[in-house]
Amino acid sequence: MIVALCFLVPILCIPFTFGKRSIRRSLRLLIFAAVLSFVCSVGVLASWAREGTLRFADNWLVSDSTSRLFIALISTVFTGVALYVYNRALTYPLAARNIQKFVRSTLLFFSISVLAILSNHFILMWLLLEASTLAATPLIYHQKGSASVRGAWRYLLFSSVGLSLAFLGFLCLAEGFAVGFRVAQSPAEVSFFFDHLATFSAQACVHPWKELGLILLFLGFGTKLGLAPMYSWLPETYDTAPPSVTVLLSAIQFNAVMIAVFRIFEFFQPLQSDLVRYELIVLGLVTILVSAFHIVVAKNYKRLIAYASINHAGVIALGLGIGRSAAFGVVLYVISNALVKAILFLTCGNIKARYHTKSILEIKGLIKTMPFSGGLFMVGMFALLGFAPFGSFLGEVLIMKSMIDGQHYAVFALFFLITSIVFVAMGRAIFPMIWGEPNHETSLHGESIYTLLPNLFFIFLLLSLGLYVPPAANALLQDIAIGIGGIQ
Amino acid sequence: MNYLFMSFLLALVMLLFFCSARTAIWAIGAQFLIAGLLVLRLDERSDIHTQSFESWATRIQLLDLLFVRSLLLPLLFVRLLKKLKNGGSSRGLSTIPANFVVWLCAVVLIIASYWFGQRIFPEDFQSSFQIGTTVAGVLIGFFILSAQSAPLGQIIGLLTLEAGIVLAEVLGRHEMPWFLQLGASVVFVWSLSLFATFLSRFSELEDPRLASALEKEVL
Repeated sequence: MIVALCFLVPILCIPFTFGKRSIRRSLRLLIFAAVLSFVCSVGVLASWAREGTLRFADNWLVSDSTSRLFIALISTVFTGVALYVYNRALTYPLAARNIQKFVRSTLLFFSISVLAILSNHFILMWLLLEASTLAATPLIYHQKGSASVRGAWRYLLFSSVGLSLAFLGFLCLAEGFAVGFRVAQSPAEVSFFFDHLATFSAQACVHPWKELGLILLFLGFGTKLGLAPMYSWLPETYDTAPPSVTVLLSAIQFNAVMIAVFRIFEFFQPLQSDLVRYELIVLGLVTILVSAFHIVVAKNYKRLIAYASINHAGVIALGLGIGRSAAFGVVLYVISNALVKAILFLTCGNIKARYHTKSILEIKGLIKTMPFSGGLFMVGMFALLGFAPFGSFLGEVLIMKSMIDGQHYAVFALFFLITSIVFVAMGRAIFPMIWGEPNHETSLHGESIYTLLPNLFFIFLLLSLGLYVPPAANALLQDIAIGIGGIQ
Repeated sequence: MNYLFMSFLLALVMLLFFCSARTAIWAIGAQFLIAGLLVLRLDERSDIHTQSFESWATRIQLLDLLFVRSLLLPLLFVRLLKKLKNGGSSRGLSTIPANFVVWLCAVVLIIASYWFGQRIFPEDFQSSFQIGTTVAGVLIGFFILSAQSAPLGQIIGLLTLEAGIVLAEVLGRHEMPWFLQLGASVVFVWSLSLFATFLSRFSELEDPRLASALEKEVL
């Protein structure tokens, strides 16, 4: 099966990274694995209408609309990361240090993430998310500086706590099902296979275990997504990790965790419980509020984008809590979010390489000093801020429309107010960086096609999401949105 | 069986009442050992548990609890602590402060846990006691985690939380397939190796010469 190649190719490449191989060879291996996974994932995505849902590996893995789309998305981002790493390692000798180890961990991380997305069992998915966290940790402190070691430690600590909470949530759900089956005198056994869960009624899991379980699950996975109250790891980790690793965390791991949340929506209908619905809405609003405070005072552009990522996680939680017609907006927003973060963090790497600083105040006139990266940074920022015609704009508008439709006026007002503050604060910080009077002389050198091409492709996808989604892709997005409780 | 739960609680309290990293690590090992003994004991009561020693999942779980978590974990960490102390490291090795405020908070959390257990199973003392002990393990783990800024204290908090969750898993009604159980054990060992790496790295960072090592962002 082609879908199996998406995780098998990277894992099979790992043994070839051992031994005394040249730097260039390891990097080519990374690009080979990324491009092949990308091609396979596109093939798998294109065959969705024909094949529908496929279960394989003795029913442990599933290839449905959700897993197909997100594997294609993360493979796209991974290819961009591979090209970026190739360019950086060949143009900057220090970057080539321990590159074999870096390539090995990256391939392992990607392979585990693909498997997590393909899982057809909640505990398997949880276990693979935990494994992907452990695989990502050495990548964060690859540079071995004190800041990156601390960033990696915070990441590991918070992720472990979050995933422990999520596991506790699954134990509560198992208890709820067991009690429910006993009360109903049903011979059914507790199972976390998706297809088994689809045959149970969501009511089979009794209160208060179901609510307690769902609350713990959203708190746990919320920690991995960077939702308040346990968000403080995210800015530090994203800031101190190498830009390529930040993209792996923000666009690949974020989406793998997002799939777990989508699956919870698909099989446990959490919005039937008002308590859980309000938990999501409150978590979303508090996260947006907290991120807004940090964005207003941010002095470091990489950290600023990290806070914007927290803000986006809040918008997603809010959209999920609102439910129904917001679901399609949430799906669009999640996809756009991955592409925007990939563009911005990869461009941040180019800017940092040129200016050797992350301070917003020390960089002026990017569009003149680094026309290509400056332009990409500008377009990425527009997409981040939710400007038309990008997919993020459409997603945000749909979520806001659903707030009005669902008569959540207070939530809408608060969201609108905070988003406006974020908009002004981001613009005030970033626009002088892009259009101000440069301190450096204008130069077109030092910008490689390897880092520009994937970003241009990401922008094309973002524009396509906002302007024109082909009917087949629209049907796929609708299917995912219906899965998480959306309406047509 | 309640004496096993009492022992678990005692090991939990020992963590807080003795200001020593070594005692804390052995107490966590004892908690995992008790969880393993509970797996052995629970098998005799098939009315509350469906596990059987014939299943590979239970065998792997027992091996994990009795060998890896209750023996390998304390031995690894105690040896590492000794090595780090000999190397002159001290800042990252501080553990839970043993003072009246900490004890009071811990007592309140334990009482709240048993109150919660009593609310869930008001007429079944055995079940309410079991739930109370499990919740106490999880809450004390969180308490230690939230009160710590040093890596070692945070690792102790995290492992205490893990012991509480393992107790909940042992009492639970869901048996994991054997390879998921094996995967959980592998992930735990992998986590331990990363914890040990971080402890070494943090103690290296105390050395100013090593701390000023290459900080440039390279990839």
